[in-house]
Amino acid sequence: MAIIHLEGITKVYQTKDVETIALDKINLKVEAGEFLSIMGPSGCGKSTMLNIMGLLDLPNEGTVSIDGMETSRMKDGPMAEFRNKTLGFVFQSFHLINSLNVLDNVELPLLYRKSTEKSRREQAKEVLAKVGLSHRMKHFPSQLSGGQCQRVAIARAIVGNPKIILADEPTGNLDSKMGEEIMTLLHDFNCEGTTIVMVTHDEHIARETKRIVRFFDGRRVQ
Amino acid sequence: MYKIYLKQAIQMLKQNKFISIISILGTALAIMMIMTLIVADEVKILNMAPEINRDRTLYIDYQVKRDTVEGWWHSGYLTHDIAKDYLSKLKTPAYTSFMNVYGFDDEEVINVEGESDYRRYCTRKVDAAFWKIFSFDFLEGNAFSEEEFKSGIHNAVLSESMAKTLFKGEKVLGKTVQIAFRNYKVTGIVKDVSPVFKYAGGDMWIPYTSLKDGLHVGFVVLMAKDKEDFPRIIAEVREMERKFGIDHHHQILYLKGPENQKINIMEIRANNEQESIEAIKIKKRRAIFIFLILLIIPALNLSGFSLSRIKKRVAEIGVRKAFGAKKYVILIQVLYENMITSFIGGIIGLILSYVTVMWLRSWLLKIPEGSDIPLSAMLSPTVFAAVFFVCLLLNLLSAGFSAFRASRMTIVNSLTQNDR
Repeated sequence: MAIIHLEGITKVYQTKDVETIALDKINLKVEAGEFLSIMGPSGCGKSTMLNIMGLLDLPNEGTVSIDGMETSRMKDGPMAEFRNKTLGFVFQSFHLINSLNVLDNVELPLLYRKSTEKSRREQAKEVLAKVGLSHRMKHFPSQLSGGQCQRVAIARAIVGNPKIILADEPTGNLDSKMGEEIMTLLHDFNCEGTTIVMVTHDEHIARETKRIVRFFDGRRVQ
Repeated sequence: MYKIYLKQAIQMLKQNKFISIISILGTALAIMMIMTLIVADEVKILNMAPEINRDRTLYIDYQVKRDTVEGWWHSGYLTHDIAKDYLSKLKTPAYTSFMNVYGFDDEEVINVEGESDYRRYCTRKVDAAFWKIFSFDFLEGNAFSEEEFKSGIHNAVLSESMAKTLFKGEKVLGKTVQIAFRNYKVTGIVKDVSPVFKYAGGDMWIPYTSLKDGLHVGFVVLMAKDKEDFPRIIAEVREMERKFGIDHHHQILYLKGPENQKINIMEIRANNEQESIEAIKIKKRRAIFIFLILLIIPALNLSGFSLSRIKKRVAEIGVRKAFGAKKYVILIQVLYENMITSFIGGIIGLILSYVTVMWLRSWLLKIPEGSDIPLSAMLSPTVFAAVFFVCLLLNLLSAGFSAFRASRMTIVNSLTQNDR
C-alpha cells in the first residue's frame, strides 16, 4: 500500500496580473520504505510538490493521502499533530534556530508532543549520536560547518521517528564530500524502514535512490 | 517547553544587544512613568505619620440642607452645629474630631509678643480628639487635653520651622505668640508636617474653642476602632440624617460620605448619594482612561520593536509549524518571550520609579525631604500586582498584533520568508 498517494494535484499561484500553474494534475504514489528522488529544472514545481506532500501547503485541486489518511478535510490542529508524528523535514538551507543550541534544535519536534523533558533529552542525544554530533550538543548553529548543520537538521527530522522524511535539496548547500556523508545518513535511515522523498537537481545523487520521478513545467514526465 | 522558550529568549536578548537594550529601556521608562503615578497614589492612601490611621478613618467634608416647604437649600463644608449636635453623638467611632478647612479661612495676623513684625499665616483649629487620631512627633511639650479644650484654653502647637521663623532660634516653649491679636502660650513643638497631609498638615495648631466666635465650618474625621466598623458608622450617620429631619420639620440633611481615604482623595462634590456614586464612577473612568493612554502610547512604540523582531524570525516560525507547532502555541511562545522582556523592563522600571519617587518626593508628592515614605507604600502587594498587570497589558498591546500575525502566516510563506 502506498504511504503517500497524490491524486490530481493542481497548484496555481495567482498574482494580480499573472496566473502560474506550478503543478498540473499530478498523480504520484510512494510506497512505504521507498527512497524516491524528484528531479527537474528550477521552477518545474518539485519543491511545491514536496511542500504539498508534507502538508506545508495546500493544493488548489486534488487529494493528498498520507499513511492512509486523506488530509484535505483535516483542520489546522489535527494536521499539525499528524505532521508532527508522521513527517520529518530536511531543508536545503537547514533552517536551524540560531538562538537554540544543537540539542534544543533537535528536541524541537518533541516539544509539541506530550513527553517529559528527560525523555526528550534522551531521544535527542540518541539521534545526535547516530549522526555523529554528540560532542557538539551545546554548540550553536553559527559555530558549526554546513555539513554539521545539515546533520543536525537530519537529527531533528528523525528524532520523532516519523514514517516519512521529506528532504528538499539536502545536499544543495554542501560540497560533494559533505553531500556524500548526508546521503549515507539518509540511506541508513531508509534501510531502517523510513520512507524518504528527496528533491534534487543533482543526477548523481538521484541515481543513488531507488526511484526517480522527473518533472517539467509542472507536469510529471517520467 | 517554557524552559526552552526562556533559554531562547535570553539567548536572543544576548544576540541582539542593541535592539534588546532599546526595547527593555522603552518598557522600563513606560513602566516607570505608570508606576510613579501608582506609587504616588498609593502614598496618599497608606498610613503615614502623622496620618497613621488612614485605613480606619472616615471623612465627612460636605453637607446639603434643604427645606421642603420654604424651598431654600444650603450646601458647603460641614457646619459646627451638625458636628456637635449629631456627629459627636455617634457611638461606633473611637474618636470624632471637628476641625477647620485649612487654607479656607482667612490667614491670621501672627506676631511674637512685644515685636512689631506682623505676618500672616493659616492656623489649624482643632479639638482634643484630633491629637488622638493623628500622631505628631513632638520635639518638645505637648498639645492640650479634652478638659483644656473645653475650657477654651489659649494653647498653641507650632511646627519646628514656624517656631524658628517666629522666634529666630530662641527657646520657644512657654513663650507667647499672638494669633489674631490674642495671646497664645506655646505648649508644644512638632516636627514639620507637609501640607500634603490634608487633615493633619500645617504650621500652627490651636483649640477652636479659643476663638472669639468659635469655628463655624469644617471637616469631621471619624476614626473607627476597626475598619470592619465602617458599615456601622455609615449606618449611624444615615440615622443621624433622619434624626435631623425629625428635629427640623420640613428639612432634609445630606452628609456626603462618610468617605474612606481612597474616595476622599478623589475630592468629589455631590449633593446627594446618587450624585456621589456617579461622581465616583466618573473619576474612576477618567483614571482608567488616563492609565490606558499612558499604556497605549509606549505600547505602540514598543510594537514596532516586536514587529521587527518577529520579522527576523518568520522562517523559525515556519519551521516550528512544519514540525507540529499549532497556531496558538506560536502565539503563546511569542507573547511569553515578549513577556520576559516586559518583565525585565518592568523590574528596572519599578526600581526607576522608586528612585524617581524618592528623589522627587518633595516636588511630586510634597513630602518633606527629611520624612520617610513607608516601605509598605513601595513594596505593597498593590504595587506589585500593578506592575504585573501593567507588564501583561503592555506585552499584549505591544506584541499581541505581531504574535497573532506571525501565528497566522502559512508555513510555506514563513519558510521562504515571504511576508504575506
